[in-house]
Amino acid sequence: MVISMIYLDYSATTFPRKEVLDTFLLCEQDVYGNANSLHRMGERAKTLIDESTETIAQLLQASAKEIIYTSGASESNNLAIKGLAENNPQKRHIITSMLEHSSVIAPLTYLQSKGYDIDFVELDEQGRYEWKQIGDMIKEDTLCIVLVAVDSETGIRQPVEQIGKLAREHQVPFICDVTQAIGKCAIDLSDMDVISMSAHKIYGLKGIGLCIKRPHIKLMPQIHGGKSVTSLRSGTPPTSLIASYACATKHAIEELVVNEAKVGFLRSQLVNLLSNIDEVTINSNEYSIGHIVNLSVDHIDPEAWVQKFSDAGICLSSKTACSGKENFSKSVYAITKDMQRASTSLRISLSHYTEYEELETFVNVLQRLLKESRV
Amino acid sequence: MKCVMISAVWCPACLIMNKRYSKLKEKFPEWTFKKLDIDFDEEVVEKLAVGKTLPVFIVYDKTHHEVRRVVGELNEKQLEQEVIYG
Repeated sequence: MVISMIYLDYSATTFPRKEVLDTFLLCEQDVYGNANSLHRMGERAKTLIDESTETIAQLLQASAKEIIYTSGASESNNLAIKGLAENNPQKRHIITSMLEHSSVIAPLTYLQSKGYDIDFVELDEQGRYEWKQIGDMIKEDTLCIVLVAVDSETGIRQPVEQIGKLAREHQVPFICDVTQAIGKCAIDLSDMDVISMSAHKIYGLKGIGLCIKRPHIKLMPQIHGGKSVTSLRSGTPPTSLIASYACATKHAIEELVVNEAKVGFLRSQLVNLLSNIDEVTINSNEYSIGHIVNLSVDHIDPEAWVQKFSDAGICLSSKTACSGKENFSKSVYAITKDMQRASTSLRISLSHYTEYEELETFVNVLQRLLKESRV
Repeated sequence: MKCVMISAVWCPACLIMNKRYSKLKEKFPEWTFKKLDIDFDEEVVEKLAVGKTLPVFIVYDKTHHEVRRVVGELNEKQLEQEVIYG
């Protein structure tokens, strides 16, 4: 059964675009050999993987040898952080932020339990890293800097290019999670040493992600089992997922400028519609990517309101899908220092597929719910 | 006296507070300090009805009666003040 809903939760996940599904199905039917097999079917799969990897590498201005396929950005973050730590046991200090995804915070908590020292970079009043402080935070035993490129709750684009340059000057590896940035805003990956991303945020399929590792970085594999596509991540090469990922990446990068402009226009229309509602405060700011509009609605219980919107046929989030059970947005609080706003926030995430009429319907439903709540 | 910290591995505020909790433990050796994880110790934590904001610090007296709860991210001084002295 297909349920007709207005989907405004594209930062949680996207649907796979038709070309991606077509690529996946075609490969599953025709190129199902194991790429590690020596026969012709294996060779075909290996060739398709090599071609797809070359495509992805070129689009992301990387080398094919730097690409490690994983199950998604969560695994990439784990591989990057724990893999780097295990290969550099003498380095026991890590710099990160409050804005990180749970797949960054959890491995850092694990390392902290093993005696690692974790420091947090502060945010300025715009919710951006006080990146100039990072130079002073770096110690002799700093293992790495781990920071997200775009905050998934407020959409604030961080100055990761400057941080990459600073990290390079200090010769400290910079791990950057660009999952919410790829295909949504222009980003220069050249000064990042290890990079995480996921296919399902760019109209690809769930179950595949990337870790780009520069040649000078050494990682310990987190899944042992010998060489697969690379020696850093074992498992039967998922040929169809890789080919479909190349397809998703191609569209995401090549259509970036057009899609970004369309989403930016939609965002300004949404903000305009919301500006007439007294109970609404916009938390996203001029640094936010167009795809995410985080707003607070006075006196609401966000989780209950997500349900109310769902009942009205609209999908949105109270905070990121992976942020656990805390009942306030850590990102909104970090920016506003206002627990009331952080406890009443909703995240609307847009796509170039979003229609203006969908935004109008969302705002109408919001006004109706507010009216009902006043009675 | 005893203090139990309820945290989660994915929670940034808990990651910050872990270090401060360890310092508290060192400073007050006559106290008993324990930790529970909201996911891995789910059955025990469920009975404590800690709500959704983490971390939570529950202070018990010698007869294991709950004396007070402290919630969220605090600086070292605040943590000591609120957990130890109430």
